[in-house]
Amino acid sequence: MSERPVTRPSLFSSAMRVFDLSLGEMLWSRRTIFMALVVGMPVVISLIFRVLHEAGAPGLRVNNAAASGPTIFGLMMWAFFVRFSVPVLGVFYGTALIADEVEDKTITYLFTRPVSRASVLVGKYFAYLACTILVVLPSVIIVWLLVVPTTSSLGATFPDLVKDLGLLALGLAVYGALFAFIGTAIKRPLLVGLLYIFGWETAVMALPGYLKRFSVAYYLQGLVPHAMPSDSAVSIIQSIFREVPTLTDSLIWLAIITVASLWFAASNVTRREYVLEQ
Amino acid sequence: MTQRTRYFLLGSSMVIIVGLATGLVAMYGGNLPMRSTTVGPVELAYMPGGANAVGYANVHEVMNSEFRQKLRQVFPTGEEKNRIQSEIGVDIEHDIDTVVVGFTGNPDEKNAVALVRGRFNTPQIEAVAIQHGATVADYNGKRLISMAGPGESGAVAILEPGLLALGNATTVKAAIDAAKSGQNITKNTDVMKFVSELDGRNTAWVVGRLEGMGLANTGLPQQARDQLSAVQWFIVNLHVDGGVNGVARAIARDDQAAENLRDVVRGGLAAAHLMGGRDTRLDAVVNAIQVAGTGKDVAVSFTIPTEILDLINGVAGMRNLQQAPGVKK
Repeated sequence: MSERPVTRPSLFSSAMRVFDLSLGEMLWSRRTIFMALVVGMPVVISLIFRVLHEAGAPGLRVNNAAASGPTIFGLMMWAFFVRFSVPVLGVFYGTALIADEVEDKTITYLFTRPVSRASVLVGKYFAYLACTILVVLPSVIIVWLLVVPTTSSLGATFPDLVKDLGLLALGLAVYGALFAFIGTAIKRPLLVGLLYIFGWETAVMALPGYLKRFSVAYYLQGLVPHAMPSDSAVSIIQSIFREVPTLTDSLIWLAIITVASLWFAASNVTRREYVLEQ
Repeated sequence: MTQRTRYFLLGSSMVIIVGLATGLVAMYGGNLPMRSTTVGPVELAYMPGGANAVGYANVHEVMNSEFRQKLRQVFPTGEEKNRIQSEIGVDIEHDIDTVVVGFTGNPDEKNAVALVRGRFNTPQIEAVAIQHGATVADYNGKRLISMAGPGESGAVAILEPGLLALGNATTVKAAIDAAKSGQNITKNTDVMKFVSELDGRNTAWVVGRLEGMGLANTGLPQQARDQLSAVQWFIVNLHVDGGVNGVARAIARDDQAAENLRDVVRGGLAAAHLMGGRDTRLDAVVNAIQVAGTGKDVAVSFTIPTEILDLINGVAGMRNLQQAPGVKK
C-alpha cells in the first residue's frame, strides 16, 4: 500500500480555515461589547432624534441654520464613523490579531498546524473584516433609515449611502491592515495605534503642506460625500487646510497601504520567533 | 462556525440587504411609507418640468417674525399696502401664506410664474381686473384672467381655492398644463434631489441650475461670470426669526472648480475681515460666515444678526424720507 503524499493546503484554503475558527472567537469576545457601544451610540442618538421629530420637537440647528435629515446623517457619518469608529475599531482589532494569541499563549497551537504562518494572519484579518463590516454597516443603514426620512427622500440620498458603505468598508480594511502590521512589528501596538489616530492623523490633517499624505485619513476623508463639519477649532483648521486627493489617487494609495501593510505583517509573523512568557 | 455566529451573520447581512433594497426601491420607485414628509411644497405640481430655478418663501412666517418688525421700512406699509388691499382685496400681511416661484429661462419676470397660496376674494380680483380691461376665460378647467396691454401681458389663474398663479399668459398656461399633464418639476430628478435635501422648516429656499440662465446678459463683471460659469447648481436656504441665517451651496462642474470657488470665497472673507475689523457689526457678520463642502460641493453658511437688520432698516427709512413728497433733495 503506497503512502499518500502530504500536500500542504494553499494559502487561501488555510486562511479560510483560520477565518472560520477566528470569526466566532472575535465576535463573541469582550471586545465586541466595546464595538457594540461604539456603533450602537449613533443608532440610539438617531432613534431619539426620530422620536423627537415625530413628536414635533424643533429641528436640530447646525451653524445657526435648521439642519435637514441628510445634513444630520452626514455629520453623524463624519463624527461617529469616519473619524471615530473606523480608526478605533481598526486599532483595537488590528493590533490584537496576533497579539491576543501571544497573550493567551495559544499562538503555538496555531503555528504547529500544517498551515503557513502568513495564512494565520490573513485568515484572522478576514475574520476581523467580516466581524467589523457586519456590525458597522448595519448600524449606518439603521441611522440612515431613521434620520434621512425626517425631511428628505431616501431615494435622493441612496447614492451617497452606497458611497458611505463602500468607504467605511474600505476604511476598516486599510486601518485593519495597517494596525495588523503595527501589531506584529512593535511591542505596545495599541498605544502606538491610538497615538497615530488621535495624535498624528489629527495633527497632520490640521497642518498645511504634504505631511497629511502620510496618513490614511487624508485618502479616506477625500472619499466622504458629505460636507466636513466645522464643529470644533481643530475641525475648522482642518477644513481650511483641507486638500482633497482625486478619487483615483485615494483608491490607489489606500490599496497600496492595505497590500503593503498585510505583506509586511505576514512577513513579520513568518520570520518572528515568538517566545511565550511563563 | 457556531450556530449563533451563523445567526449573527445572517441577521447582519439581512439588515444590509433590506437597507440597500429599500434605498433602491426609493430611488427608482419614488416615495416610501417610511417617509414622514413629502418632498417640497405641493405647489410644485404646477411648476413646469423645464424650470431652471424654483424658490419657496413662507410669507406668513416672515410677516409674523421679529425680522419683519426690524425691516418694517423695507416692506410695503401704509398707503401702498392699503392700495393693494382696496384694489384686489388682498392684505399681504395676513392673507398670503406661501409663495413658490419658478423660472423657465433667464431669471426675469418674462419667464417667471409665482404660485401664491393664501386667502383671496377671487370674485373681487376678477372684477377689479375686468375694470382695468382684463379678459376672463377658462383654460384647461381653470379661470384665467389675462390683463390688457401690448405684447406679453400679465395673467392670473385661479388654480385651486386659495391658490393663484401669477405671471404672463405663457407662463401661467404652462403652469396649468404642467399640473394637468403631470410633466411638472417633481419629475425633474436633478432639481428634486436638491429640494429633498432642504429642511422642511426653512422659511425660504431656492434651487436653481445656473447653466442655461444666460449669465452673459446679467451685466455681471467678466471675472464674476468666469467664476459662476463653473457652477452648475445653486441652493440657498434661509431661516428667518430674529435675524436671518442660512446656507448657500454651489455645486461646481468638478472638484477643481469647487476648490477654486472655495478659495475665492475664503479670499473674499479674508478681505472682508480686514475691512470689517473697524466695524464690530460687520465683523460679527463676517465671523458668522463659514465655508464648508467637499468634492464639487461648496457651502457657505451665514448669519445676519438683528443689529445689521436695524442698520438696513435705518438706511431704508432715510431713503423713504428723502423720497417723500415735499422733502427738498
